[in-house]
Amino acid sequence: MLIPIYILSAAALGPCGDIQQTERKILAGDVEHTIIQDTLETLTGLDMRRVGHFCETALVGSVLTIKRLKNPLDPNSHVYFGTGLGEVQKTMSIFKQTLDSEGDAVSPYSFINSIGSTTSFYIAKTAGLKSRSITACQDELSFEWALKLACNAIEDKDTNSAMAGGADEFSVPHKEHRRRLLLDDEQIMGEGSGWLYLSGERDSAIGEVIEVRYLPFTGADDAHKWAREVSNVCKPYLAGKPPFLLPGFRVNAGRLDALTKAIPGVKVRRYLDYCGCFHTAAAFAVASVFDTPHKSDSIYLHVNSDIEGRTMAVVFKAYGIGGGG
Amino acid sequence: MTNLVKIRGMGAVSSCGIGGERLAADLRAGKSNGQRLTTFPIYFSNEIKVNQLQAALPEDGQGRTDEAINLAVNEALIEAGLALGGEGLRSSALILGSTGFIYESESLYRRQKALGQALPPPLSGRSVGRVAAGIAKRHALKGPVLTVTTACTSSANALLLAASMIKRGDVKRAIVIGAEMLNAFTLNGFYSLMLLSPEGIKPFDAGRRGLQLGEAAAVIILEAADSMDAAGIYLSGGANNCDTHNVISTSRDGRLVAEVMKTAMNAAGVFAADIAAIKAHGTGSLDNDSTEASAMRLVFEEGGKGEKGSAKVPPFTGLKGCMGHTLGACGAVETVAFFKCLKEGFIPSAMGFKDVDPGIGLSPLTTARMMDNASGFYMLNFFGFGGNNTSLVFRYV
Repeated sequence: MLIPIYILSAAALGPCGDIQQTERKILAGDVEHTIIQDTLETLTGLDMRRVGHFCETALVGSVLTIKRLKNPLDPNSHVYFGTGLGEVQKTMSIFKQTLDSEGDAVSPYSFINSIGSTTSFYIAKTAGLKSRSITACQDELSFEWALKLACNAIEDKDTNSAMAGGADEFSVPHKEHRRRLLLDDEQIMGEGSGWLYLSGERDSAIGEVIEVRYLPFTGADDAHKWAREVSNVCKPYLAGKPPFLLPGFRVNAGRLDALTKAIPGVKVRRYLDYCGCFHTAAAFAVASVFDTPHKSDSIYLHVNSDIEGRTMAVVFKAYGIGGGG
Repeated sequence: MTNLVKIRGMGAVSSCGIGGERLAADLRAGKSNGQRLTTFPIYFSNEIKVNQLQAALPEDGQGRTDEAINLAVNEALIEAGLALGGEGLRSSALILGSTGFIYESESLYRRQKALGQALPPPLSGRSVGRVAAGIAKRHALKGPVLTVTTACTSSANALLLAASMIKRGDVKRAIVIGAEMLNAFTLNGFYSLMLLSPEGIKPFDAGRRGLQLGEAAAVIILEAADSMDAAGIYLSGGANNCDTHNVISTSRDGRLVAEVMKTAMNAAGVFAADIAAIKAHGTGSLDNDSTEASAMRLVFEEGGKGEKGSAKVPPFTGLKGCMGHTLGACGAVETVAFFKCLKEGFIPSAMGFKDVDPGIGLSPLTTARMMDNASGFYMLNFFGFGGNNTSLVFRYV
């Protein structure tokens, strides 16, 4: 980063409705939908009946992130929201209604909820924000793009603060949605959201974003070459202390093995055990690192690729108790 | 790092035909390309008209989308004097703006049903992000790939973000694509919201009754520029904001829309009096045209006081009467159309407009304005569902 981008607060919602570490569970298999409407109403004090589960998923994370801020929310904050597939359930319902029973008018609310910018509208509305609002949809790299755009905006002085997050939902039947995500049989499917509140000001920071790097195809078939490229993103910041590695769901066993060899002493945190696989699981991964305070400063590296091999790496620091730096 | 971003090439496929020049020709001729929908069935097809692509395209959804985009890419490359696979493009960013590609899933689903085959799960087609990734892969582009989905501002925001990446020095060039295919899903949605006009788009007209949807693909190649001395089109600045008044309409006072216009002018380093003309969003819907007019008044009549020049709304037009509302593609398509017209020495009239709405009190151009010298700053506005507002300021030299 050209200037430090500080993380002032964070929140992650997992597939079991979990919003704090004590509620996180290791998933034994594909889960059923958890009703989170009550959680959202408690958090916002608003009747949000008209929004769908996808929007609720995004909102629980975004509202909680703002509630966890120690300082007042900057009203000029931007919103950068990433989602791989967006609103799937409402879209499915209109799709079937439109294609299978021609002659029926579709529900206006379902249609509105299916539109790409509706969720970011509610994120901005519940936060009281009216500044820039961008939704990025780039499959497995959607959250990483949202985070990169947010950091760029702060670096470029377009804003001093921004919400960066991601959310995705699954639909049933599970088999159908697994196919949509192109998951292997052993991968567990999930859903959830994760948000960071970013600022150019350090006051009350809990961490900082160090790098959000886009790596073009770099020998897609050569795991070791790929691992070297990825490890080079974080190495300048390690100062002899091994980082924690958060591998995304497209990082296969061969690449993970190569990466652990490329970064000696790296500690792998298998966050997908808790949230399952979905396009924006990275958002859950990064935000849930801040579930509990760290004893000392810790560097994290999240890495994921799309199915064609494009990779994005996120390097960030969680500050230890007492300030960090 | 540079502060200057220039359009190097443009291309478009629309209801006017293949090529950006077709857009300019039909806008000059005042030709509306509305017709009854013929590509797929919907139960209210005889109540509305649409603007369908006029090009021989493959019938399957994926092929149709890809070929429409390819045609626009090829035109833009020829104009830019660049070749795919060449060094000049290999590390370029590719940024796509669209509401999505549900037409592809619909097309697949219909074909399977017609063949009596076991139905595939709906939405098994490509995600919106995968379309952009696929284009980049086919053309061996190694630079960043990003898809923006902010409803009708999608490709306008794609232009804004592309310009930002170039200014930061992240990339030297960006290929910005706006693409939208008509589909039953979206038509049904707009129909249920009672926003489709049975009479075509009449922007800012007293008798406006709503939108006419269209489909198009357009491509704009942006690159870093050293100076604004050379003839060309420069993206001087832009802005985006979110009006959280209502998810499908902006607040009637136009305050947030005015704000985005002002912020765009600030980013471009210009005053209200510097704007030579405005390409309005002009959907022909009751509320949004009123809001847009209120905003133009706030910026150019109220805000323009005390600035250099007179405080009045500059000449403005709307382009959707010719090509329909192409939703997420309109940022790219209408930018191509507007500047193809300027290159030919005119600002097109707002097709479909006849009578001033007393509630608005403003008239867009009713005849094309011929220009001996079109040099100047132009504001292009785009607004979308979710309160997403984007304003772009270009300099034409």
